[in-house]
Amino acid sequence: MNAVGIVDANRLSVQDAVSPTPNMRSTIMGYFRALALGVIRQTVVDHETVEVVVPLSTQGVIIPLSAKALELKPEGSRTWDWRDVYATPDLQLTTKDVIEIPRAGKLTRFVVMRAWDYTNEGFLRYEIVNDYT
Amino acid sequence: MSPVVAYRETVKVLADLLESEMDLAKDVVAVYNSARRIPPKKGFFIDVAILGEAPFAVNARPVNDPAEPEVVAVQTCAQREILQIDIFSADDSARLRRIDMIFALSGIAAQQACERHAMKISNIPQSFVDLSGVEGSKRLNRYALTVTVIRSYSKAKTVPTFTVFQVPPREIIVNR
Repeated sequence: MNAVGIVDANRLSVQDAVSPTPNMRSTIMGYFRALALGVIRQTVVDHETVEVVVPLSTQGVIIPLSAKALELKPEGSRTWDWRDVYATPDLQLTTKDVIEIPRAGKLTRFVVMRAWDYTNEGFLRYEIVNDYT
Repeated sequence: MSPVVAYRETVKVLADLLESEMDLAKDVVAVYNSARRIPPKKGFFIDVAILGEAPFAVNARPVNDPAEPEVVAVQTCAQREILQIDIFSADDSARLRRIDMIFALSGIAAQQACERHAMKISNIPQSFVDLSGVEGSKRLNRYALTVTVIRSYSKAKTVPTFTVFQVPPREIIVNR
């Protein structure tokens, strides 16, 4: 429904209640740089699982988690290597996807733990953690 | 002669049969415990797993192969293998296609595979049970077929014999 004037919040649909956000693509591109990632994809060859690293070039930035976000993690997992990935919407990943990113001069595997779809706002956000397995 | 006679694993022989007899795509049938992530597509998947094996005859015998300077040791092992084949899906396809697995393992193609790989798939499966349960937000249809296979393996390898003297001559003590 289209709300006109002041109405009770319970009269609003979820669609209307969500306030529109600006498209940040043109602004956020100033913060992004070229990202060269490897996405681990699984295929079945001769009934066995085979991992293939698919190279992917995109624009984005990988930053450590903020202190506040880290504090919200369970106590035992605060020392894990968490990162936030902000990238252009062409980096399509889902939770549990494994990606390879360069860290300290060598490729390290990270697993996607959370995904936020901000496609309408011009970017995507993923929370990743070092894949210790 | 090759030192080791290569053989195809029983789980893969059965997986080949299921794939060809049920007209399945290459990513449907997999060997269990290969850390596979199920693709997010509809339809069923099949896992072939080893439940247990019981060797009941093992022997080794020398064979004289004229082409080989050394004696060839041939070892054979016969064993009973119990395998579990799981068919599972988030929709009803696993329930609808489950009986096809029995046909795949008892048809002419299965008999040909058995002759090719020196094995025998039991005529009647041991059990076929329902393992359906909740999986995440879905209720998974899962059926487990247990089959018994009798199979014989062999390995041939050349072994050094008295044609090659193992002890260096200077260490030989001769009575004078």
